[in-house]
Amino acid sequence: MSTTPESPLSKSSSPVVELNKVSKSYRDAGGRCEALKAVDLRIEQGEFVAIVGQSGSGKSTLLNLLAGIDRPCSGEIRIGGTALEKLDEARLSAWRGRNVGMVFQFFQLLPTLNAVENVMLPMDFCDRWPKAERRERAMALLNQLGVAEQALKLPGAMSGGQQQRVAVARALANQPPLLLADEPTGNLDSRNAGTLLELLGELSQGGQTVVMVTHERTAETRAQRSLELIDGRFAGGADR
Amino acid sequence: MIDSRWRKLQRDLWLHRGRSLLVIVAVAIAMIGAGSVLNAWSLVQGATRDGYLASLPASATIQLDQIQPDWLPQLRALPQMGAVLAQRQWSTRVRADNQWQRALISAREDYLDQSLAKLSPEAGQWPPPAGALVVELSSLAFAGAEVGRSALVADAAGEARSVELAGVVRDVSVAPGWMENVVYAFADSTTLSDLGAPAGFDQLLIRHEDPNASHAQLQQLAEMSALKLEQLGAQVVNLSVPEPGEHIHAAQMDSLLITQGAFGLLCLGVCAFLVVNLINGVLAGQAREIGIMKTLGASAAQISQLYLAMAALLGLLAGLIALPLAMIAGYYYARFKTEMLNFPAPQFLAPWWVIALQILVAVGLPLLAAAIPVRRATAVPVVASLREVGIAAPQGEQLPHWLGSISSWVSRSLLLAIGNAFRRRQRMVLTLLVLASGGAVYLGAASLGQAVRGSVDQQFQTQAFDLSARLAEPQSPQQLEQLVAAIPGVEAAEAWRGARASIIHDGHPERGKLRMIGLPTDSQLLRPRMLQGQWLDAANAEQLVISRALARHHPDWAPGQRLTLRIDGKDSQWVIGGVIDTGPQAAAYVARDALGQVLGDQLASSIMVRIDGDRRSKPLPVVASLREELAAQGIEIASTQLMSEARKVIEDHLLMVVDFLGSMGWLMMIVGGMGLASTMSLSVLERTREIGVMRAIGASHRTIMGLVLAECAVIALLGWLLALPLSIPMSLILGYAFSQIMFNLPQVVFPGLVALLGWACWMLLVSLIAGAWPARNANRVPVASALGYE
Repeated sequence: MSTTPESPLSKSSSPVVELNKVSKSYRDAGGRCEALKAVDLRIEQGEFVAIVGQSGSGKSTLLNLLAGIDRPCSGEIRIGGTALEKLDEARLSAWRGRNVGMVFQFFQLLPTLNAVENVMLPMDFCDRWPKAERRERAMALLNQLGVAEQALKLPGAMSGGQQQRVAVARALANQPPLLLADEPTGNLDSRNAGTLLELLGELSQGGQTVVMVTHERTAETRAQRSLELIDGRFAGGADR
Repeated sequence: MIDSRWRKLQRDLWLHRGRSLLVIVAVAIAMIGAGSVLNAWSLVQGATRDGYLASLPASATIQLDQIQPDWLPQLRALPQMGAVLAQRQWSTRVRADNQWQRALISAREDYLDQSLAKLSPEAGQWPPPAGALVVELSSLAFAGAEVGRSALVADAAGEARSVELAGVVRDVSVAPGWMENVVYAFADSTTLSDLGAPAGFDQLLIRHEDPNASHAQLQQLAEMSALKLEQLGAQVVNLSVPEPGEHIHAAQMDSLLITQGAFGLLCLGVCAFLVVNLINGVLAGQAREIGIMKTLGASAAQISQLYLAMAALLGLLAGLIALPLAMIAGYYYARFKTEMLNFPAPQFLAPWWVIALQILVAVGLPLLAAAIPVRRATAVPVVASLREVGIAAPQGEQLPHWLGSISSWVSRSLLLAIGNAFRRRQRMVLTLLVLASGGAVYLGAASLGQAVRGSVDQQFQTQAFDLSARLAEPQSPQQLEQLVAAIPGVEAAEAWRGARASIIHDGHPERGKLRMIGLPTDSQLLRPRMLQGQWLDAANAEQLVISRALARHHPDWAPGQRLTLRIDGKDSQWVIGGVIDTGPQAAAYVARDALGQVLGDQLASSIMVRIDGDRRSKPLPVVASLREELAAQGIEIASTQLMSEARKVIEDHLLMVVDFLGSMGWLMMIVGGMGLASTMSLSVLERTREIGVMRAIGASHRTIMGLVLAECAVIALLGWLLALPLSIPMSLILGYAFSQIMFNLPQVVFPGLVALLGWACWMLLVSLIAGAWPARNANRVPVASALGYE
């Protein structure tokens, strides 16, 4: 790759992720539901953090808040020094494209785009890479993740493991300082799940900050740090 | 290299190719409808305006009793007078093929004078040679005539005379012969008098020297000419000044095209609903994809661009299909219109701005239609988008509660179909609006047709005679009635008197002439329907009854009002006694004796004849006998008219408009059917998993197909129901538009039972056709895949 645009977080000495007294509640058919209760959290650059917990414990809510796709009811979220509550929706989208890579449980590749086009899509949205270099970079990422031979296949023609690797490549497309993974192994067999966790570990060792939400104990053990959420609070008290 | 976003756009369109194609076709149909009307309008405008002005039309026509040759130079010497032409029009009958037709043969003083009312020779000889006729182009096919062959012409005595048809000429100043049921022809004055027409000329065409003169200036010149002629001893029978530069039917054609254009716009509106439906469907199916794209950093504007580009692309494709077809259809429609107006065919290509406007509408309409759903979809928070599973009933779109109350007497399958129809209510409302708009137009047109037929029936029920004959010279009414009543086949005869009157207002005659009909107060051949006041009374000589059409021209006239009329140069006082309905004819009816008193004689100028029942279907022998008998008594008939022919002319004019409106209803039904197909395919797609579950628990293909088709039928029937109230304002609007184009109609706001049931049947058929494809698709996905569908 000829050019490597600088990440806004890459030179930051402060924590990549910083949450202060963050609360989030929803109103649903069953009444008011407090998903997160005054949570504090600090994650440094290059850390691989697993957030675990039972279903309904608030881990997906936490991930959504970190990705800036949901907003807290109270508290402050700073990612790479940027206070997310100060960004409006349009700026938040642009910020997200450059600073956060998301990997989903169900891969969420766009079904009408092939693998390489899926990886190019965030680059097209964010204009971070020159147009002429995007395809080359996408191919390099697919190659790095071992799915280069799937580049021209549509998601429907790939296995779950292959789709998830393409999804990781897509998440890394804009070289984001923060990689968020929501139950990334939840839809994979044990062999593919192991490979994916190994990959996330390697990325972390390369300086990539990775936050993974999971309810699988085996996945949890691969992370450098594991935090358990119980009823909207981290187990063992505040300030993690 | 193409950006991945545009690749997604291409492939999404391909993925939804069925629905995309439906929208393209529907927009293209609407564009063809609206575009062809616009093209036709611009081509007709150009062809008629240029063609009519090039013919140097007469500024005024003055009808006299007789013209003396030495009057013409004096008239030509009048200030502002550009040209003067003397002619005679003689009404008779001709037979070129195998049936007799009414004919109007004109003889002009000088056919080589091209300074006024130009005629364009089309074939054969010109000017008309001695002893021969030259037929007007629009009458040629209608008469079954051929150049070089002979035709029979009834002379003044009613005898058939063979005359050669020497050529064909076009006269753009007359409505087409085929439409008027008249054979227009030209002859030299000697030939015309040989046929028994009075010698010399009786009609003057005059033209203002300024081609851009206003109506007031033309009127002034015409009145000055009439005054001069009266000073010279002429009796001015009538004076007419048409609107300058406007063809005889130009206003009607304009109104018709504007009405058609309005329906074209309605069609476009309906298509906009379809685009909204498609884009809504695509966006609903891609809610999660939108969420993912936002997660990947896409802004709302970037996502909006994608879907708006999709809508614009669909419109552009529809425009590319529609533009040439609209051009071809518009050209042929314009050719039909110019033929109707008796003008040469227009050029093929519409003006550039008309083409540009169509491209703009093709792209702009889908863009506008898509703007709101796109804006709404991109405003959904990312978390909500990611949670969207497509098939769940969102808040407020649950099944209606009333379904529970009918569950005991409706089968579960039907209940499910009704419930499904209501699941996406906004989409259903849009689909219903599309279907109901088509229904409203169809039912409105049916109501209009009913009103038109009723009006024509009413008019001809009022006129209880089959034949009218205008006499060359007024005769004694009693002698005339006796003579005609004795002719075999005549059941009843009444002698009437006609006159033209000027309305005197503040001591001055108003512009235009009023048609007066003097008839026996106990007339058996006119059975008027009284709208206001009362019918003529023999004891009240100054009483006058006006027709509704005349009352419409004078909204301030009412029973009891006094009028001063100038008839034959003498002023007389009249009182309006009542208003009657006689269809589109504007006339004032008075007692024959009272009119005779004003005119200074007790004569009749026409005879109305009721033919007995046996011979009514073949009236021509009675017409011939009438001519023979009267000729034998020295009474000359100037013209005859059969009411059956008059009715056909009126119906041909009126039903053309009604048929057009009906065809717009059909067009909208096709577009509505496409909308329904689009809605149902979306509905089936969204319920893929649900259908999979039903099939997994034992629902057969037939059951699933029945469910989809029943849902279609439910929507179609609701569309039909909604069309009923919508058809009422539509009938009122159409009735109003029709009254502007043609004449006032009795208001029929409720369509007949046949139209109602007919439309219901068509809707059901359309629903079956529209539902067939989605119903088939519902069974095509394997159960395992359907269960895994999100």
